[in-house]
Amino acid sequence: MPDNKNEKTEPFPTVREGSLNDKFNSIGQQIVKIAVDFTTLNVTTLTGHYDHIINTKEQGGKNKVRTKFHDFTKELGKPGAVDARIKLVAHTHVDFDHDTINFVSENVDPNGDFLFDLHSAALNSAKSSRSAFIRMLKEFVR
Amino acid sequence: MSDTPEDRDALIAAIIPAAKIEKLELGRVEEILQPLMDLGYISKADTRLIPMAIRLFRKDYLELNLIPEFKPKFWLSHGTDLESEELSLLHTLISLDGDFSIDLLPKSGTVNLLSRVIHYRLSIHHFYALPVDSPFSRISLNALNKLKHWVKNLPKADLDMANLLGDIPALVQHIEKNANGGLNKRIVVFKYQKAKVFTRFSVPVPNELMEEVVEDEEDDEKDNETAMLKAETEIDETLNKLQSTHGDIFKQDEQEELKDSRKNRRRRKQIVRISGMMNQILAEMHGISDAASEAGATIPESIHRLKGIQNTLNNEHKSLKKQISTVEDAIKKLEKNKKKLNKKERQLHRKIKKNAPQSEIQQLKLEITAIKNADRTIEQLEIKKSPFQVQSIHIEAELKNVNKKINALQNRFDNILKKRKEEIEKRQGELKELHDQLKILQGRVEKIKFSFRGKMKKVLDRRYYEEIIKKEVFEKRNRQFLEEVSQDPFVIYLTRLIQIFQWTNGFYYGKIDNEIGDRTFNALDDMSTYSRGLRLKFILTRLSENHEGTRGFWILNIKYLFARLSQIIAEQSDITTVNVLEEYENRFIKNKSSDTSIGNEVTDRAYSEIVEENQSDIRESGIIRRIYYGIKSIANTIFNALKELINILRSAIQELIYLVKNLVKIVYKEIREGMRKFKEGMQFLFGRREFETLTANGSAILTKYDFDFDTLMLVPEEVSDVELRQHTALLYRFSNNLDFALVLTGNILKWVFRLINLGTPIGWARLAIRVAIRYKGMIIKWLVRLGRKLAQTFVSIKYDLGKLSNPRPA
Repeated sequence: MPDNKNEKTEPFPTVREGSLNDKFNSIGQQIVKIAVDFTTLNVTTLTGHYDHIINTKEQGGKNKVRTKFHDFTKELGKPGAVDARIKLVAHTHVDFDHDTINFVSENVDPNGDFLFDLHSAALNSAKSSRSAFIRMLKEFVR
Repeated sequence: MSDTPEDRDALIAAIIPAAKIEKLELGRVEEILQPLMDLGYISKADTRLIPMAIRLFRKDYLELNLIPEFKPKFWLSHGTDLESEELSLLHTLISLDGDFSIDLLPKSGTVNLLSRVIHYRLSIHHFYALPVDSPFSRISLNALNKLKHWVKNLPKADLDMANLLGDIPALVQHIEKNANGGLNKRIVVFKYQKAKVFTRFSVPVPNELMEEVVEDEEDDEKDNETAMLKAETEIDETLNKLQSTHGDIFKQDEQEELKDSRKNRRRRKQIVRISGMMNQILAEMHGISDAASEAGATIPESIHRLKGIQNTLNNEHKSLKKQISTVEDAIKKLEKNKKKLNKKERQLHRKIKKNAPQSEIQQLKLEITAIKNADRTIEQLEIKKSPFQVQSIHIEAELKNVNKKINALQNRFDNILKKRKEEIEKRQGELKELHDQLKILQGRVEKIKFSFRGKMKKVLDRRYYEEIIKKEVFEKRNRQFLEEVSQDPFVIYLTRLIQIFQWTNGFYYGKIDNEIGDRTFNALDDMSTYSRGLRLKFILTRLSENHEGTRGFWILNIKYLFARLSQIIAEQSDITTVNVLEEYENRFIKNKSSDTSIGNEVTDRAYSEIVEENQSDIRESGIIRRIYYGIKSIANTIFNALKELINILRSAIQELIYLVKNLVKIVYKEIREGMRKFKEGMQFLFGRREFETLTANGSAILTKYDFDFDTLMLVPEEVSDVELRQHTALLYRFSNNLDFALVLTGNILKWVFRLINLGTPIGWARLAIRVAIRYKGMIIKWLVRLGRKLAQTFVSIKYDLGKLSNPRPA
């Protein structure tokens, strides 16, 4: 059960731990906790190369750890030499009134067009997911 | 609790535990495989062929825009899985309840979904011998019109014929009215011998069934239905009278159940109930006797105990009285002595005067002193006597009380014995009355002859009966005539149609092969048990040719059977699977003491058997397989018989009738499909929202969605076009067709949180059945909405689910 019983958890009464009610209760408390901003939607696509050389010899580890690009956000801030090229492929900002700002980077070769298609796919996927989510909420509060 | 993606995954897994839904997933592959085989997408039962067949099926339904709001998962090119919506469409396509109607015939030479559906229907009717995936052709058109050889007033348009062949209830009704020459000039004749060898899943025909349909030697052509109806009315009157005097024999719900039963069965049940009542009275009599014995055991004991007290008290009282008496004697003696004082004083005076010896004078003086002290002694004795007297009075009161108690107990005991005698006499009177009534009823029931011939004479054309049936069949036993009738193509077709009807209504699970075997027999019995207004004895009779009755022809009264079936079809209400599930929830889930499992050993066994049967049968090529996936007719049948079926599920019956298996199949299937969608929704809402596509160089394309769908995508530099396309597909897979799953999930969560707030515990079984009910309700509405949408855009297909859109109120 969550520790923060007094924070936004009043709608969910205490139930027997381990029961199905208890598990759904946890779900309910998560819903209450999550901060949601449905007024804007931001989709960002980055590409690049990221090598993070971390000296772990002192800890008895290997000399270097090459960090993969898709993991780089996890490694940010850790000590060690970094060889990184990170490029923004595209960024899309959609306002609640559907006003949309698209930033598309020039020269993201060699897969520029394909990358932008992928960005569009992510944007479409996010849009339809959000719309389905809102329908779910509508059903929930109906 | 923390809310890392791992925690959330674990929470979802705890709400929808894999172990719980594992068994429900069994048999799903066959549910996909069989319809794909039926529609000719797969030629043999080989799961390796499923991915290709699924791709073709998807291509076909997309071409016809059959589910316009649905985006199939083509990228799962090696998958053997269909989404719930697609499975629902597939089962609707092979339904024979008129759920899917075609508005445009395929062009000659084409192979598409419509040609497959039409060829499938024709194959079921045995009108089309080519493979189902053959191009639509003149042969197909000829096959569509084959029925016109035997039945009049059929639709002129080939298209309407195609739809009629996919609507068995409508077809049965049409043939009943429009068979060439009339069904009242037809009988169905076939040969049948009870199977001697039984396979793993075959159920032998019970001897009672064989006895019920055996030809009765006394069963002449006399139409005794009028006499039977008269006897029935008399019995009903007797039962009504009995019921008014012994209303408690029939509890309310039992009365409801009795109304739904067949008349004769009802009467038998009523007799059973009266026997039950007799047993109840006997039990009560035993109870009365026991109560009296119990009282008999305690009251005398109490009396005995009290009498012991009485004796003790009496003894004490006696002893006290004795002591009092002793004291009183002493006092009396003293009082007597007191009267001697003057005399003694005079003696003393005389002795002194006469100078009597001193010793005498002293003696007299002592006596006189003692007499003079007597008052004090008396007083002392009185004081001694007083407690004895008080104690005596107390004991006397106690004795009086004990005596009173003893008398009361004795009276009570006498009363109990008297009452027991009266009660037993009263019950004996009731018992005698019931026994007499029972004897009368049994006598009347036995008098009723279920005359096959009488019914046949009544429903058939009089002349046809007198000249053909009576003479050739019953009198002459004209073997050649019987042989000819049994070989008549229309008769063979009618036999097949009976099997198809049994199959689509959930009674039959054998091959559709025109052969009347044990399963068809059992299915006829089940039909007459669970369909109102059918009597087995009127449907079938056996003309034995040898003494043992093992060889010979069977005659089926097709006119009677189809007339009753038409009536049943016409009276059917708009029952949907949702109604079946709700009733299942009310009767089976809500009443269960434990809410941890959706079924019990019997339902699990029924489901395992049906899966196992399907898995083994599907391997046999060239037969129409046994599992029927249409729902409308089965839902009706099951709903009407649900109470009895649930009772079977609650009992530990070994031989499960197919109707029970169908009920379990429907319930488990809808729970499974509903749970799939619910899980999808829960995973979307609370699960991990990170999607990775591994790349050739050991890196990965990663997309991360926040809870409110802000998105970050990381793409390494060295990725191929294929990898990018794969990742695109992955993203669409995540977000496509989400509406259905999320609306269902929202609906279920709302229900769950309402129960939580009410403090009602939610067990797995309750959640599962609720998910199934909501899912099924949604899928019905969804298909209807698609049907309307398609109709508006003038697409040539429609889902004829008008009835299903109007589920009965719960």
